[in-house]
Amino acid sequence: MTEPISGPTSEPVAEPINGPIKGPASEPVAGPINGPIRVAVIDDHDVVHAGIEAWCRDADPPITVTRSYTDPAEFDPAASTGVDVVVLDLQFQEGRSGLDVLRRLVAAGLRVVVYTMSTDATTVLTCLDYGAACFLTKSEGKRHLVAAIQAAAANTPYLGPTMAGAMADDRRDERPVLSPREQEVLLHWFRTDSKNLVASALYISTATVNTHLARVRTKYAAVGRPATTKAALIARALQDGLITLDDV
Amino acid sequence: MTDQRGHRWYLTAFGIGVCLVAVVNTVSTFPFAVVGNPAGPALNVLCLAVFLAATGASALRIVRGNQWRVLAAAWIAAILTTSALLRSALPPDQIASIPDWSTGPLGFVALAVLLGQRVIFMVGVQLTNVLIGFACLLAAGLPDIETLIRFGSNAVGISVFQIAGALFYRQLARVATAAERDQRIRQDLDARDGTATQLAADRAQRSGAIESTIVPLLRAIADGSADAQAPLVRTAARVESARMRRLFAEIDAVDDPMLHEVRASIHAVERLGVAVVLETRGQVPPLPVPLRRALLETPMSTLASAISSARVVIIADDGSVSVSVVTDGPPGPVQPDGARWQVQTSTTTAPEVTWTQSTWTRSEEAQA
Repeated sequence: MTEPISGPTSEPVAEPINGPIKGPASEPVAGPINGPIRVAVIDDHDVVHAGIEAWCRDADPPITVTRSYTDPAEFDPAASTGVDVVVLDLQFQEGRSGLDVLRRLVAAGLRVVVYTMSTDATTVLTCLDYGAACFLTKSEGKRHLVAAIQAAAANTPYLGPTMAGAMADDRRDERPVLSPREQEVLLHWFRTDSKNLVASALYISTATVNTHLARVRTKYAAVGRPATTKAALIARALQDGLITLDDV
Repeated sequence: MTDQRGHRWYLTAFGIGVCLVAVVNTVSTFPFAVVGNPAGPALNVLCLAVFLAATGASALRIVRGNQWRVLAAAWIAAILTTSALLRSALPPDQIASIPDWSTGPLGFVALAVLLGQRVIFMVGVQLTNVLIGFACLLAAGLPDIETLIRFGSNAVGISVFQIAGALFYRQLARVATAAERDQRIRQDLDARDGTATQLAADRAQRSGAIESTIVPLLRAIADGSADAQAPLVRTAARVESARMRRLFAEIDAVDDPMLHEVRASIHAVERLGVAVVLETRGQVPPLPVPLRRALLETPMSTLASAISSARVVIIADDGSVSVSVVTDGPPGPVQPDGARWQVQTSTTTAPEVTWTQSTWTRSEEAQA
């Protein structure tokens, strides 16, 4: 499909925030980004490293991949001051749990975009609960990954179609309350992977589609266990007027 | 009750009947024989108890339908031994007379114990019974002709009917086994016949579904009225080919028949170089073939028209199933039969993108 969709919106990616945001947790809060976004990739396949590095090079503006790791144990969060976003696979050889790695990275205040083969709804929701900035499947590809990295770096919400499917099917007690329209937008986004089609089907603009998706993502950040990355996302959504304090 | 159980029931009834005859024969003979019996009460009561116990155990075995060999041998040994003890305690002139009461019931008790075994065993028991009596008779020297006639007459009287009973039961069991085998074969044939009929009907239905669209297309290509190189004709051929592939995959013997059929359609377009993403949420409830066909026809036609990429999403719960296909090709023809199956189909287009979605919703009456 050739429909040009980039980022949570078709509009330019939000500007970096001005100054650090204090979250509910005591860990370091993801701070402002000056200059190019710096990304670390943790995935046990070299070919994935090469692909992500190429996509980041082609991004506008270009994203710098500082280093790629095949073994998550090699990545030291404490020594990762030069990294803005971590792209993390969940499936590693030798049975290492990607979820444990995610928890460790989020606890260190890092913004993490999960990029994996798994499409299981429970895994998606667990990752969001742990504080992942975004969950993408590898079939969702370049346009979603680049946009998700940019959104994570800016502490703005990004919601891929697989995430939307998991949220629309969320039956947990602790799920956030979504409006019928938000639920409808989620389902259509999951079905089509095209905001133009969602907008056409619901007779709304793509900007409204983006607003609904951003609100849903922020509502998810407001439930479950606290994390500095979630706090930063909520703070940014409040600043941008996506949500009010009543929503959280 | 099925025929099969009926055959076995006759055998059980016959067995219980034999046990009842054995008990009645034992108990009715015993009071007349025991009064003034020269063998004394202890041996008489012991013999009576062993006969009744063997008969009771046999009845239990028959009702439960168990087989026994070692226990049968043990019970036969027990009744022959107690009878022999009793008869050896009688004066020789009392053999084959009223005090020698155990010889009559012994045959029926042995028949109850040996039901289902080879008839030769029953013959052996009766022969042993007669020989024991003859041995007791010889203990007083050579018997006179009158005694021999009485003994022989008694021996025939206590053996023939019991052996005939064993023979009859054996034949009845053979008939029952043969009847069961015949019935299994008949049921198997009926099942094969039913399956073949259903398969033939399904094939005829599929053939009809294919012929209504693919045959005219092939005919048009054959007679030159349709150009096989024309994009529209090529698209129609792809749609029909994917449709055939899906119809061939229409089977219920898989975990999720609908997903199976969707995968068949996906496989057909992937072979043409289309990159397909399949996402599913929820468990598709069991749906009949015509409903699945009504639900899949339009989305799968759209899928077959994809040029380079497609996204297929199935979302299901107990009350509804939706199949959504987004492609970079034109929409497929709409399934005209959808409304009859509560299937709603919609198509939305954007530049170079087509989204077709069919949704089945369980009717309110069905939900109630």
